Amino acid sequence: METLVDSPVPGEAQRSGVAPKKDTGDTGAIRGRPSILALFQDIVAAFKAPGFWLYGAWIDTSLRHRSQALGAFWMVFGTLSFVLLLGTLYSRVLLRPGADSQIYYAHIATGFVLWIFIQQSLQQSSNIYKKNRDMIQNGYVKYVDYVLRLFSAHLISLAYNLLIIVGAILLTPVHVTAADFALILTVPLVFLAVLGVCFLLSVVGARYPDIGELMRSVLRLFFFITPIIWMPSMGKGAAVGAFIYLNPFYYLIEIIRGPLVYGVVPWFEIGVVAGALPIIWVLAALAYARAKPYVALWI
Amino acid sequence: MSSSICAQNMHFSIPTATRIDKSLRRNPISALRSLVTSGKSRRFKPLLHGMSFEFCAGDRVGLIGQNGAGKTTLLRLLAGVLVPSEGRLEISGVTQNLLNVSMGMQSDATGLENIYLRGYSAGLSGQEIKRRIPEILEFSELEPVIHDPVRTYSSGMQMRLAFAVATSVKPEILLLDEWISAGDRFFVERSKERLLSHIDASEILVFASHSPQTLKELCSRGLVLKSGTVVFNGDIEAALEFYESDEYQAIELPARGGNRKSER
Repeated sequence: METLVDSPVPGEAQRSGVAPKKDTGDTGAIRGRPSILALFQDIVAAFKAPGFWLYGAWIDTSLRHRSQALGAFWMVFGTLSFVLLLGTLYSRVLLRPGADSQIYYAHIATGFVLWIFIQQSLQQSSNIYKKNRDMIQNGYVKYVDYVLRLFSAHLISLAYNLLIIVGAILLTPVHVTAADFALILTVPLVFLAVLGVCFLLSVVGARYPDIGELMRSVLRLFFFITPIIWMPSMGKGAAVGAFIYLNPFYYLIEIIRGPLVYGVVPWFEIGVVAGALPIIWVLAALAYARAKPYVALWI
Repeated sequence: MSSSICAQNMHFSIPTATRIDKSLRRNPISALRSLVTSGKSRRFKPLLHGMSFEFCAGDRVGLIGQNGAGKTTLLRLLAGVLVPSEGRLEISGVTQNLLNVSMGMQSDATGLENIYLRGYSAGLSGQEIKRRIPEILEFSELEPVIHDPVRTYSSGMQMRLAFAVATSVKPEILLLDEWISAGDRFFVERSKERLLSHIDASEILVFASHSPQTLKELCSRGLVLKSGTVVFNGDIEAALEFYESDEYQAIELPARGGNRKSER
């Protein structure tokens, strides 16, 4: 007889009827929490087997523009018309007479292209696990892959949009200077910072669905707060300085735009991003390790 | 290498916080508090308690139990989607779950692209996928339409494709849910042989089903569940007999069966 539950003896049944109350305490917390290194271990694993997220990123990009005559160049055309129209209008509205309006095109092109990349990555990572609920519930639990898939899809878009930056630099009198060597340092810094925040948001957004909506509003606001369509030199007074220097997006955009468009290496801004990087990644690693066993339950 | 699954006094609970509890709008104070406290104040609803079992290579295990007995939860734990709250669960061996074959299909992508996507998500390399394609096409009979988007396929064709891709990877531990009995008769007949060889190639099968025939056919052992507890663990015939007897209905389990011993 291999029955595992013996027929309840009256006395025992009574006892076990009472017992439940005693231990409904906090014994339910999931044990064996992953180590703080879980995020980094999972990222290493994801880079060892990049098939799914790389192919997924390519498929996502390809599908978005399939069966369109212009295909992926819609991305470029959307951005291009934005840069041309806003550049033409605001260079007349915002710039002082006699100011160099041509460099303004390069300014807005670089800022806007980077902004799209940052905004899309952050926005979509806050509900990335919910979007992939079906796959997660059915056993594909390499959470890092979903974020990397999204991030690399946006990198592909960014690569297309680079055409606009290149065009703006060629057509406007922006000089290629020695400062451009700083891009070797600053571009990876921006990517790492954005990726770190993506991981953080993906986890926090899975736990608190409100984050997705919050990000939508906040990012819309920051598009106007951040010097993308305006230039820091246009503002006057300390209040404008606060909008610039307390704004994380300013640093991310400036460390690429500074060397590229203005030929200066913004060491202070680079320092800020480099200093924030470890903080972002430690927070992301902590949140990821804490959340990993629960993600499937939250979404 | 021989695979095994070993669970010792495994519990699984879910936090009972609902969407409403967490909503800032309805309940701002508790939502903020839950941000700060590390979860001590949360309550948990136990779904599985005190499960112990050991499956070794060669075992064909049927999970039997009424709806809500914890079959799917157990499969999700075995699949690694969920993590036990307490106790131990050790799984050694490459696990594949066919809880839902058509997971992750992109309906706008072509059949071929979906083969790659699914192949990669099963952990294959590009080379390995390429090698499997002829055989997948042969089984699914989709060669003429493989460059069309999957959304233009009939549901039967989609099922065949998903099934062909899923069964082209040979795992050591195979988790199967009810779905195989779904699908039209034609598909079931056609796929049966392929599924059986797929099962044969695996070392351990864990199969959740309500159908006694299928269970008898596929399984050698039965694990009968009731309210998240293992109430019977043994030969499949005896397990089914136990499940259908009045004894199963008569078992009354306490709300939490934490201390219950269940050894083989």
